[in-house]
Amino acid sequence: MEVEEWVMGHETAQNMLRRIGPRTTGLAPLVPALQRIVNLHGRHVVEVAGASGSAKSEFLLQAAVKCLLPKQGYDGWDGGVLWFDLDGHFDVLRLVRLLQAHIHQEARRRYEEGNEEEDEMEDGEQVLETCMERFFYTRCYSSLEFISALKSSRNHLLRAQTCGKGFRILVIDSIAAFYWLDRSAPFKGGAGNPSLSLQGAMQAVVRELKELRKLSQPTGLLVMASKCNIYSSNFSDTNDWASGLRKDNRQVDSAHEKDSRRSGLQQREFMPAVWQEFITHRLLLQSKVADGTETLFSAEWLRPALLNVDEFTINDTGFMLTNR
Amino acid sequence: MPRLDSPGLFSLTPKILADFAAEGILSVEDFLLAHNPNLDESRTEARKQAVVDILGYIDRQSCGFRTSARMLQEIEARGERYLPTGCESLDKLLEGGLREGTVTELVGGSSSGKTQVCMQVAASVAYRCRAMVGFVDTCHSFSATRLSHMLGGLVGGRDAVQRRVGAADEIGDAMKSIMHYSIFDIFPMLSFLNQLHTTLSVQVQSMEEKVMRLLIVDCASSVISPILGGIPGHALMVSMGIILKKLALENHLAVLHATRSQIIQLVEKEAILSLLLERLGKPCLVFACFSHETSAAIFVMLPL
Repeated sequence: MEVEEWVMGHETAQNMLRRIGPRTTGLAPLVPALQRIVNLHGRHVVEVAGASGSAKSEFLLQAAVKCLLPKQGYDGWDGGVLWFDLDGHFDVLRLVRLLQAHIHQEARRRYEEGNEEEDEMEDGEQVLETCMERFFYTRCYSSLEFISALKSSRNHLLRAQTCGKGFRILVIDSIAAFYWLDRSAPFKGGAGNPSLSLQGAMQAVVRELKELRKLSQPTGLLVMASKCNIYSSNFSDTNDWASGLRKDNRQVDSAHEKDSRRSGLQQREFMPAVWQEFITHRLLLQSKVADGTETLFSAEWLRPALLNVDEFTINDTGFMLTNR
Repeated sequence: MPRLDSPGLFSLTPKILADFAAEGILSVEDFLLAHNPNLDESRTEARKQAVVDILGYIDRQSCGFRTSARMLQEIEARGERYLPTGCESLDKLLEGGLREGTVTELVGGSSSGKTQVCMQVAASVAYRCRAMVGFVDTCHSFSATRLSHMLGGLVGGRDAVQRRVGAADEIGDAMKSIMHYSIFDIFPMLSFLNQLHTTLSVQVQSMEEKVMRLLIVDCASSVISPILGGIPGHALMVSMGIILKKLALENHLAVLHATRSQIIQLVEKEAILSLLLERLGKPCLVFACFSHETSAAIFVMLPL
């Protein structure tokens, strides 16, 4: 009977945990400094927002490095990474440097614990090679190229899955790279006519991402995208706005000033609704005044809305928190 | 993007093409935007085969994926170099010079030495690296006489032409490898950059010919500021940024572009590295140069 079925439910909580457990539990945080409360796994979509130079691409790179490293000793996700570079900011030498820093740190830790050191060098080389083979990179210069790259990544995804090591993360560096180009594209109009407008392009992108995520069951595919924030509502009053921004960068941040900054220079949410509904997490990064030689950054989770703001610096082995 | 019938795929029979047209899909671009993979399950075999063929065609057209291991090998094979700027302290700030494959932005107010630095870099790269340099001049501030003085300084001092026999030839060679382009409007600029990209992409290198390694745009803001103020203007600025990045990444150029300070807040900082130039005092051979990334300040003294 229908009513009986409705009352009894489809499955118990225990069965559900057993079904989705391997996908969500037992995964180490990708960027431990910023993930003390928020845990990310394969069904999430993270958007990292911030002004220019606020460590967004660095965050994505650190997460990718953690994903590439094996589970043993490095606490990594042991999976492949698909990197879509829409901004041209990727530097493969920096990736190599980060991987080597992690490997050296692990080798030093093993040495201090008194294990044999003979195999360390070969092990390190092997780990580096395996990690480099799992990182897939492509560059796109327009929305259409991006959508075609997403479509052609299906084959890579299926091939990697049959080999055993599937892709765990899909990184889009700067989802808003072609925002202005798409916005200014002429609207072809007509019912049922697809057009390269902002909405049309984003809809196609979200559709492809959902399709790729469906193909990556059961581990899921974590999508991480960076986005450069726009801080003004119109462009005519550039002088006031520019001087306001410069002034803010030099002030010491007290709580009161932080609030006024947030209300004075609103971060305008400019991405279309279809993308805003797609994301599940949002992280806001800001860079602060540098004292001496190091630049301080601050991170705040906007979604889920956690109230505390973390401050951190960056070095090769990861983000280091400066407040505790 | 071509129409669906032009690639000549066999499984795209007229019936299938009519089927697609009914949904509004007439070209590959429409296919990319409108094709919904979820609905494929309920279609006929012929339709599924057509979709597979179109996806294969798209795959072949796109640049494809590379692993980072392969990228590293390519870099090591090509030997990406740092181009010396001709000024030691600037080279130290940039950790070696202008790196090929990057876009560097030089920011400063009026009369802060941007053109001087640009000409110095052009002279240094043309002479020391024996490479071609493209100099796009938008504000009519390029001076061949001044450039020849700078080259004279690099070759061996002011009176090198008298002292050394081959000095005049060397200066002449270097001057010949600096190509000067006068462009005063955004549309000729975009057309020139696209043409440069096409020319460099299809060029076959012979051993004797010099290769273009550096592109200088002085000053990018003078073609951008007249058009800013709306969506189309902003889009044109972004497309100029994209084509500069494409030139740097695909053709392995180092791109140096100078802008005025007011533009910097609007541009999404597509440059990898941004240097801020300020003039100190009247004897204007000394400038202060700040880098945003490292927050280091150095004093740049341009040799005569």
